[in-house]
Amino acid sequence: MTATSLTLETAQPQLDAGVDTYIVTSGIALERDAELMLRVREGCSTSFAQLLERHRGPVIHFLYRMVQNQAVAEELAQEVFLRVYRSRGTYEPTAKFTTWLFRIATHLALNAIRDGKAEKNKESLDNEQADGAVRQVADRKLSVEQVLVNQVKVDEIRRSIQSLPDKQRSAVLMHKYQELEYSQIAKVLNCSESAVKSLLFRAYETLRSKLAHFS
Amino acid sequence: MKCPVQSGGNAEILLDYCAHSLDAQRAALLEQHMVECADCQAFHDAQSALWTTMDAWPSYPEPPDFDRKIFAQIAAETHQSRWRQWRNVIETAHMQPAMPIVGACLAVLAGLLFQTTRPAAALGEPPMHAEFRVEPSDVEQAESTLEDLEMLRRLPSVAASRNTPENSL
Repeated sequence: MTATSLTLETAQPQLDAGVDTYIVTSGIALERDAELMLRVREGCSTSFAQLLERHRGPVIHFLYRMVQNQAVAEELAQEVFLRVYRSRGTYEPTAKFTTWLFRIATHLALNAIRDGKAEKNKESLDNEQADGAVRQVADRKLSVEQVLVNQVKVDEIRRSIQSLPDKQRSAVLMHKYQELEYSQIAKVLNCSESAVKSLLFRAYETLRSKLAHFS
Repeated sequence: MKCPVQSGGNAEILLDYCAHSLDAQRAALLEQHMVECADCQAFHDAQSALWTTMDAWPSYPEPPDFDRKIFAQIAAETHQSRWRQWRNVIETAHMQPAMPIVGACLAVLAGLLFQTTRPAAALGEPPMHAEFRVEPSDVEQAESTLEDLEMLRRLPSVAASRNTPENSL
C-alpha cells in the first residue's frame, strides 16, 4: 500500500463546508476525485461509477463542442473514461483530476479532428440531427420565428468556434463552458499560463468580431 | 489603476470580470477605472455581449446508456485481459536480446531430455538378432594383429637367450 492510500484511512470528509475535499490528518487536503480514483485503483467499481456520475456531463459536452458531432463525441467520451480506468494502476494524485481528465479529452478530440473522424460523420448544420434529437432546448413559449432565429444564432456560434485554431478553440471551450482555471488550461494544453491568456484574448477577439451582429 | 486595454499586459482582468470570476477587490477597482476609461468600457460591453451570445449554445442531453456501455466495455476487456497478458509477454519477449540465450537453453534441455528418454536401440546397442557381416579385409587385419602380439610376447625370451655366456663369448 502506498503512502497516499495510507493517508486515506485517516481522512475525514468536510461535509458541512460543502467542499469537495477530504482533510487528511497529516494536513494534506486530498481532492475528492483523487480520493475516488485511488479507491478505483484499489478495485472499487462503485468509486468509478461515482467519478462517471460527476464528470460524464462536462466531458461529453466539452467533446461535443470540440468535434461538433454527437456520435463521435460519445465515442470519444467513452474512450476518455476507459483510459482513466485503464490507468488506475499507475494513477498518482499529482495534479487535479479534472486537469488530467480534460487533458485526455482534449488529446483525443484534437486527434479525431486531425484524422477527420468528425468530418466523416459530420452533422449538417442545416439539417436536423439524424436521431431526431433537437439541438435547441425546446421551449414551447417561443414562436416558430424565435426558434429559427435561435437556431441560426447557435449555428453561427458553432461555426465561429469551429473556425478557431485548435488550441484557441480548446482554450475557449474550457474557459467559457467548463470554467477551468488558467493554470488548469495551461496544463491541459501543455503551455504556460501567459500563453493561455494570450490564446484566450485572441480567440475572444475573433469571436467578438464574428458574432458582433448578435449584440 | 493601469488601463488593461492600453497596457495589454493584464487584459485577462477584463475577461475575468466579464466571466464573474474576478475577486471583489479587483472588480471594484476595475469598475472605478471603467467609469473614466471608454476603451475598457467598450471592451467590457463587447465581451459581455459575446458571453451572452455564447450562452445560447446549449449542451445536449447526456446519453442514458453511457455508463452501461462503459461498464460493458470494461467487463469485455477484463475477460480478454488474461489472453492479452500472455500475448504481450510473448510479443515483448520476442523483442528482447536475451531471446537467443533462452532459445539455446531450451535446445540443450530438449537434447538432455531426448538422451534420457530415447530407447536402448538408439544408444548403439545391437539388437539380439542383429546380423553381423565380416569382410575378408577385417580377417586379415585381425590375423596380422595376432601375429604382432605373438611376436611381442616372444621378444623378452629371445633377448634373454642372446645374453647367455655362450653367446657372450
